[in-house]
Amino acid sequence: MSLSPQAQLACERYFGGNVAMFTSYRDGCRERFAADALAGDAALAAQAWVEFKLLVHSLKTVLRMLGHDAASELAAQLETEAVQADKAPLQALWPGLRGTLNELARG
Amino acid sequence: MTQTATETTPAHCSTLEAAKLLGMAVRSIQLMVDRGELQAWKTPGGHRRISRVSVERWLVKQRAGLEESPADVHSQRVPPARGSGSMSRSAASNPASPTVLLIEDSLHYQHLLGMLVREHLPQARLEVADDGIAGLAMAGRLEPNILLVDILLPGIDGAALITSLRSHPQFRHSRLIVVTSLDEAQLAPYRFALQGVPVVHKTEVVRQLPPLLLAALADAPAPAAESTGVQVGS
Repeated sequence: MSLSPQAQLACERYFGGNVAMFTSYRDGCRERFAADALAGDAALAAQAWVEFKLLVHSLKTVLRMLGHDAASELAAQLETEAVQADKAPLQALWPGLRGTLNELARG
Repeated sequence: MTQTATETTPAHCSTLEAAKLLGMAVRSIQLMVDRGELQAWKTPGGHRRISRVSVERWLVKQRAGLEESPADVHSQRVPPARGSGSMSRSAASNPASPTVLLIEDSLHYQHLLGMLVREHLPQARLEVADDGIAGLAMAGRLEPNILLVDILLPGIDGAALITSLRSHPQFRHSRLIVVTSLDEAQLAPYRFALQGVPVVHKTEVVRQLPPLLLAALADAPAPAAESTGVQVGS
Protein backbone atom coordinates (compact mmCIF):
# COMPACT_ATOMS: atom_id res chain seq x y z
CA MET A 1 0.00 0.00 0.00
CA SER A 2 1.74 3.18 -1.12
CA LEU A 3 0.96 6.65 0.16
CA SER A 4 1.87 9.99 -1.34
CA PRO A 5 4.83 11.66 0.41
CA GLN A 6 2.51 14.11 2.21
CA ALA A 7 0.20 11.29 3.28
CA GLN A 8 3.18 9.23 4.44
CA LEU A 9 4.38 12.16 6.52
CA ALA A 10 0.93 12.64 8.06
CA CYS A 11 0.65 8.91 8.72
CA GLU A 12 3.96 8.97 10.58
CA ARG A 13 3.20 12.18 12.45
CA TYR A 14 -0.40 11.57 13.52
CA PHE A 15 -0.93 7.82 13.24
CA GLY A 16 2.42 6.56 14.46
CA GLY A 17 3.00 4.96 11.06
CA ASN A 18 -0.14 2.81 11.28
CA VAL A 19 -0.95 2.77 7.57
CA ALA A 20 -4.07 0.62 7.95
CA MET A 21 -5.61 3.04 10.42
CA PHE A 22 -4.56 6.05 8.37
CA THR A 23 -6.09 4.71 5.16
CA SER A 24 -9.25 3.59 6.94
CA TYR A 25 -9.64 7.06 8.42
CA ARG A 26 -8.83 8.74 5.09
CA ASP A 27 -11.32 6.59 3.19
CA GLY A 28 -14.03 7.35 5.75
CA CYS A 29 -13.30 11.05 5.48
CA ARG A 30 -13.46 10.96 1.68
CA GLU A 31 -16.93 9.47 1.90
CA ARG A 32 -18.07 12.43 3.98
CA PHE A 33 -16.31 15.38 2.38
CA ALA A 34 -19.02 15.96 -0.22
CA ALA A 35 -21.60 16.16 2.57
CA ASP A 36 -19.33 18.58 4.43
CA ALA A 37 -19.20 20.78 1.33
CA LEU A 38 -22.99 20.78 1.14
CA ALA A 39 -23.29 21.53 4.85
CA GLY A 40 -20.90 24.47 4.48
CA ASP A 41 -22.88 25.85 1.55
CA ALA A 42 -26.09 25.57 3.54
CA ALA A 43 -24.62 27.18 6.64
CA LEU A 44 -23.16 30.05 4.66
CA ALA A 45 -26.41 30.63 2.78
CA ALA A 46 -28.35 30.65 6.05
CA GLN A 47 -25.70 32.81 7.75
CA ALA A 48 -25.58 30.12 10.41
CA TRP A 49 -22.22 31.22 11.73
CA VAL A 50 -22.05 28.90 14.72
CA GLU A 51 -22.73 25.84 12.59
CA PHE A 52 -20.30 27.03 9.96
CA LYS A 53 -17.62 27.58 12.58
CA LEU A 54 -18.16 24.11 14.04
CA LEU A 55 -17.80 22.60 10.58
CA VAL A 56 -14.57 24.35 9.60
CA HIS A 57 -13.18 23.93 13.12
CA SER A 58 -13.51 20.17 12.73
CA LEU A 59 -12.26 20.16 9.13
CA LYS A 60 -9.17 22.09 10.16
CA THR A 61 -7.94 19.13 12.20
CA VAL A 62 -9.30 16.42 9.93
CA LEU A 63 -7.44 17.85 6.93
CA ARG A 64 -4.25 18.34 8.90
CA MET A 65 -4.29 14.72 10.03
CA LEU A 66 -4.60 13.64 6.39
CA GLY A 67 -1.63 15.76 5.34
CA HIS A 68 -3.58 18.49 3.55
CA ASP A 69 -1.89 21.33 5.37
CA ALA A 70 -2.87 24.13 2.97
CA ALA A 71 -6.53 23.15 3.16
CA SER A 72 -6.23 22.89 6.94
CA GLU A 73 -4.85 26.43 7.04
CA LEU A 74 -7.72 27.62 4.91
CA ALA A 75 -10.19 25.98 7.29
CA ALA A 76 -8.44 27.68 10.20
CA GLN A 77 -8.76 31.04 8.42
CA LEU A 78 -12.45 30.39 7.85
CA GLU A 79 -12.87 29.49 11.51
CA THR A 80 -11.32 32.80 12.53
CA GLU A 81 -13.54 34.72 10.10
CA ALA A 82 -16.63 32.82 11.24
CA VAL A 83 -16.10 34.13 14.75
CA GLN A 84 -16.38 37.65 13.30
CA ALA A 85 -19.63 36.65 11.54
CA ASP A 86 -18.61 38.70 8.50
CA LYS A 87 -20.08 37.16 5.39
CA ALA A 88 -17.79 38.75 2.78
CA PRO A 89 -14.49 37.07 3.71
CA LEU A 90 -16.28 33.79 4.30
CA GLN A 91 -17.83 33.94 0.85
CA ALA A 92 -14.42 34.71 -0.60
CA LEU A 93 -12.58 31.89 1.20
CA TRP A 94 -15.15 29.11 1.32
CA PRO A 95 -15.16 28.16 -2.39
CA GLY A 96 -11.48 27.24 -2.09
CA LEU A 97 -12.10 24.82 0.74
CA ARG A 98 -15.29 23.50 -0.81
CA GLY A 99 -13.38 22.79 -4.02
CA THR A 100 -10.72 20.87 -2.12
CA LEU A 101 -13.34 18.86 -0.24
CA ASN A 102 -15.09 17.89 -3.45
CA GLU A 103 -11.79 17.04 -5.08
CA LEU A 104 -10.81 14.83 -2.15
CA ALA A 105 -14.25 13.21 -2.17
CA ARG A 106 -13.62 12.13 -5.76
CA GLY A 107 -10.39 10.51 -4.62
CA MET B 1 -51.02 22.07 -13.04
CA THR B 2 -50.56 18.59 -11.67
CA GLN B 3 -47.02 17.90 -10.56
CA THR B 4 -45.37 14.55 -11.06
CA ALA B 5 -43.95 12.52 -8.20
CA THR B 6 -40.47 13.35 -9.44
CA GLU B 7 -41.19 17.05 -9.20
CA THR B 8 -42.75 16.91 -5.76
CA THR B 9 -40.56 14.36 -3.97
CA PRO B 10 -37.33 15.82 -2.60
CA ALA B 11 -34.14 13.80 -2.91
CA HIS B 12 -33.71 13.73 0.84
CA CYS B 13 -36.01 13.12 3.77
CA SER B 14 -35.88 13.70 7.50
CA THR B 15 -35.11 10.97 10.02
CA LEU B 16 -38.79 10.91 10.99
CA GLU B 17 -39.90 10.50 7.38
CA ALA B 18 -37.37 7.71 6.85
CA ALA B 19 -38.64 6.02 10.00
CA LYS B 20 -42.18 6.13 8.65
CA LEU B 21 -41.10 4.86 5.25
CA LEU B 22 -39.26 1.91 6.78
CA GLY B 23 -41.71 1.30 9.61
CA MET B 24 -39.04 1.74 12.27
CA ALA B 25 -38.26 3.92 15.23
CA VAL B 26 -36.37 7.17 14.65
CA ARG B 27 -33.57 5.76 16.79
CA SER B 28 -33.20 2.81 14.45
CA ILE B 29 -32.82 5.15 11.50
CA GLN B 30 -30.12 7.10 13.36
CA LEU B 31 -28.27 3.85 14.00
CA MET B 32 -28.55 2.83 10.36
CA VAL B 33 -27.10 6.17 9.28
CA ASP B 34 -24.21 5.77 11.70
CA ARG B 35 -23.57 2.29 10.39
CA GLY B 36 -23.51 3.55 6.82
CA GLU B 37 -26.61 1.59 5.80
CA LEU B 38 -28.38 4.79 4.79
CA GLN B 39 -26.69 7.74 3.14
CA ALA B 40 -27.16 11.02 4.94
CA TRP B 41 -25.75 14.43 5.61
CA LYS B 42 -26.43 17.00 8.26
CA THR B 43 -27.96 20.42 7.99
CA PRO B 44 -26.17 23.33 9.66
CA GLY B 45 -28.63 22.84 12.53
CA GLY B 46 -27.43 19.28 13.01
CA HIS B 47 -30.48 17.53 11.52
CA ARG B 48 -29.93 14.47 9.39
CA ARG B 49 -31.12 14.52 5.80
CA ILE B 50 -31.35 11.03 4.41
CA SER B 51 -31.10 10.09 0.75
CA ARG B 52 -34.43 8.69 -0.42
CA VAL B 53 -32.57 6.53 -2.91
CA SER B 54 -30.69 4.85 -0.07
CA VAL B 55 -33.96 4.34 1.83
CA GLU B 56 -35.55 2.74 -1.21
CA ARG B 57 -32.46 0.63 -1.85
CA TRP B 58 -32.54 -0.62 1.74
CA LEU B 59 -36.22 -1.49 1.39
CA VAL B 60 -35.53 -3.49 -1.74
CA LYS B 61 -32.73 -5.39 -0.05
CA GLN B 62 -34.87 -5.95 3.03
CA ARG B 63 -37.62 -7.43 0.92
CA ALA B 64 -35.08 -9.66 -0.75
CA GLY B 65 -33.91 -10.81 2.68
CA LEU B 66 -30.42 -9.45 2.26
CA GLU B 67 -30.37 -7.15 5.28
CA GLU B 68 -30.65 -7.58 9.01
CA SER B 69 -34.09 -7.48 10.55
CA PRO B 70 -35.06 -4.12 12.01
CA ALA B 71 -34.86 -5.59 15.51
CA ASP B 72 -31.17 -6.26 15.02
CA VAL B 73 -30.52 -2.63 14.28
CA HIS B 74 -30.95 -1.68 17.93
CA SER B 75 -28.11 -3.87 19.12
CA GLN B 76 -25.20 -1.71 17.99
CA ARG B 77 -24.46 1.97 18.13
CA VAL B 78 -21.10 2.31 16.48
CA PRO B 79 -19.82 3.96 13.34
CA PRO B 80 -19.12 1.42 10.63
CA ALA B 81 -15.82 -0.35 11.07
CA ARG B 82 -13.41 0.11 8.20
CA GLY B 83 -10.62 -2.34 8.44
CA SER B 84 -9.45 -1.89 11.98
CA GLY B 85 -11.62 -4.42 13.74
CA SER B 86 -15.21 -4.12 14.79
CA MET B 87 -17.07 -4.46 18.04
CA SER B 88 -18.28 -7.98 18.58
CA ARG B 89 -21.95 -8.58 19.10
CA SER B 90 -21.15 -10.37 22.35
CA ALA B 91 -19.49 -7.24 23.64
CA ALA B 92 -22.47 -5.23 22.52
CA SER B 93 -25.04 -7.43 24.19
CA ASN B 94 -23.13 -8.55 27.28
CA PRO B 95 -24.25 -6.37 30.18
CA ALA B 96 -20.94 -7.06 31.95
CA SER B 97 -18.99 -5.38 29.16
CA PRO B 98 -17.56 -2.00 30.07
CA THR B 99 -19.32 0.85 28.33
CA VAL B 100 -17.68 3.75 26.55
CA LEU B 101 -19.91 6.69 25.66
CA LEU B 102 -18.51 8.91 22.93
CA ILE B 103 -20.10 12.36 22.70
CA GLU B 104 -18.84 13.78 19.41
CA ASP B 105 -20.62 15.63 16.62
CA SER B 106 -18.03 15.11 13.88
CA LEU B 107 -18.62 11.95 11.88
CA HIS B 108 -14.93 12.01 10.94
CA TYR B 109 -13.92 11.75 14.56
CA GLN B 110 -16.71 9.37 15.49
CA HIS B 111 -15.05 7.08 12.97
CA LEU B 112 -11.49 7.57 14.20
CA LEU B 113 -12.30 7.45 17.91
CA GLY B 114 -14.52 4.43 17.30
CA MET B 115 -11.61 2.65 15.63
CA LEU B 116 -9.34 3.42 18.57
CA VAL B 117 -11.85 2.22 21.15
CA ARG B 118 -12.54 -0.98 19.26
CA GLU B 119 -8.86 -1.67 18.79
CA HIS B 120 -7.74 -0.99 22.34
CA LEU B 121 -10.86 -1.91 24.31
CA PRO B 122 -12.31 -4.73 22.18
CA GLN B 123 -14.35 -5.93 25.12
CA ALA B 124 -16.10 -2.59 25.47
CA ARG B 125 -19.53 -1.62 24.28
CA LEU B 126 -19.28 1.67 22.41
CA GLU B 127 -22.20 4.06 22.32
CA VAL B 128 -22.19 7.33 20.41
CA ALA B 129 -24.12 10.57 20.89
CA ASP B 130 -23.63 13.31 18.36
CA ASP B 131 -24.71 16.28 20.41
CA GLY B 132 -24.33 17.37 23.99
CA ILE B 133 -27.96 17.15 25.04
CA ALA B 134 -28.35 13.62 23.68
CA GLY B 135 -25.02 12.78 25.27
CA LEU B 136 -26.14 13.89 28.70
CA ALA B 137 -29.33 11.87 28.36
CA MET B 138 -27.42 8.78 27.23
CA ALA B 139 -24.86 9.21 30.00
CA GLY B 140 -27.68 9.20 32.53
CA ARG B 141 -29.18 6.08 31.06
CA LEU B 142 -25.97 4.14 30.46
CA GLU B 143 -23.77 5.27 33.36
CA PRO B 144 -20.75 4.46 31.19
CA ASN B 145 -17.36 3.45 32.55
CA ILE B 146 -15.69 5.96 30.26
CA LEU B 147 -17.05 9.23 28.88
CA LEU B 148 -15.12 10.38 25.83
CA VAL B 149 -16.29 13.90 25.16
CA ASP B 150 -15.59 16.57 22.55
CA ILE B 151 -15.78 19.92 24.28
CA LEU B 152 -17.13 21.90 21.34
CA LEU B 153 -20.56 20.54 20.53
CA PRO B 154 -23.71 21.95 18.99
CA GLY B 155 -26.50 22.82 21.36
CA ILE B 156 -24.58 23.06 24.62
CA ASP B 157 -21.67 24.95 26.10
CA GLY B 158 -18.76 22.58 26.54
CA ALA B 159 -17.88 23.85 30.00
CA ALA B 160 -21.49 23.40 31.11
CA LEU B 161 -21.52 19.86 29.76
CA ILE B 162 -18.28 18.93 31.50
CA THR B 163 -19.40 20.55 34.74
CA SER B 164 -22.71 18.67 34.62
CA LEU B 165 -20.95 15.38 34.03
CA ARG B 166 -18.46 15.98 36.82
CA SER B 167 -20.88 17.24 39.42
CA HIS B 168 -23.70 14.74 39.07
CA PRO B 169 -23.43 11.83 41.55
CA GLN B 170 -24.88 9.53 38.91
CA PHE B 171 -21.59 9.72 37.01
CA ARG B 172 -19.31 9.11 39.97
CA HIS B 173 -18.34 5.73 38.53
CA SER B 174 -17.45 7.19 35.15
CA ARG B 175 -14.07 8.37 34.00
CA LEU B 176 -13.98 11.40 31.73
CA ILE B 177 -11.58 12.05 28.86
CA VAL B 178 -11.91 15.19 26.76
CA VAL B 179 -10.89 15.29 23.11
CA THR B 180 -10.70 18.58 21.28
CA SER B 181 -9.45 20.47 18.25
CA LEU B 182 -9.16 23.65 20.30
CA ASP B 183 -5.66 25.06 20.71
CA GLU B 184 -4.25 26.25 24.02
CA ALA B 185 -5.61 29.79 23.66
CA GLN B 186 -9.05 28.54 22.63
CA LEU B 187 -9.09 26.16 25.60
CA ALA B 188 -8.49 28.95 28.11
CA PRO B 189 -12.18 29.63 28.84
CA TYR B 190 -12.66 25.95 29.64
CA ARG B 191 -9.68 25.54 31.97
CA PHE B 192 -11.70 25.79 35.14
CA ALA B 193 -14.13 23.09 34.06
CA LEU B 194 -11.28 20.88 32.85
CA GLN B 195 -9.17 20.86 35.99
CA GLY B 196 -7.96 17.33 36.63
CA VAL B 197 -9.44 15.98 33.41
CA PRO B 198 -7.20 14.47 30.72
CA VAL B 199 -7.47 16.56 27.56
CA VAL B 200 -6.21 15.17 24.26
CA HIS B 201 -5.85 17.25 21.13
CA LYS B 202 -7.46 15.43 18.24
CA THR B 203 -4.26 15.36 16.22
CA GLU B 204 -2.71 13.35 19.06
CA VAL B 205 -5.52 10.88 19.75
CA VAL B 206 -3.86 7.92 18.06
CA ARG B 207 -0.84 8.18 20.33
CA GLN B 208 -2.31 9.59 23.53
CA LEU B 209 -5.79 8.13 23.79
CA PRO B 210 -5.07 4.37 24.05
CA PRO B 211 -3.12 4.54 27.35
CA LEU B 212 -5.73 6.90 28.77
CA LEU B 213 -8.53 4.52 27.82
CA LEU B 214 -6.77 1.59 29.43
CA ALA B 215 -5.97 3.56 32.56
CA ALA B 216 -9.51 4.89 32.81
CA LEU B 217 -10.98 1.43 32.54
CA ALA B 218 -8.57 0.05 35.12
CA ASP B 219 -9.34 2.95 37.43
CA ALA B 220 -13.11 3.06 37.05
CA PRO B 221 -14.84 1.21 39.88
CA ALA B 222 -17.59 -1.25 39.06
CA PRO B 223 -20.98 0.41 39.38
CA ALA B 224 -22.08 -2.18 41.93
CA ALA B 225 -19.19 -1.34 44.26
CA GLU B 226 -20.61 1.66 46.10
CA SER B 227 -17.98 4.06 47.25
CA THR B 228 -17.78 7.66 48.21
CA GLY B 229 -15.56 10.42 47.02
CA VAL B 230 -15.13 9.03 43.52
CA GLN B 231 -15.56 11.75 40.94
CA VAL B 232 -15.70 11.91 37.22
CA GLY B 233 -12.23 12.93 36.28
CA SER B 234 -8.79 11.70 35.55
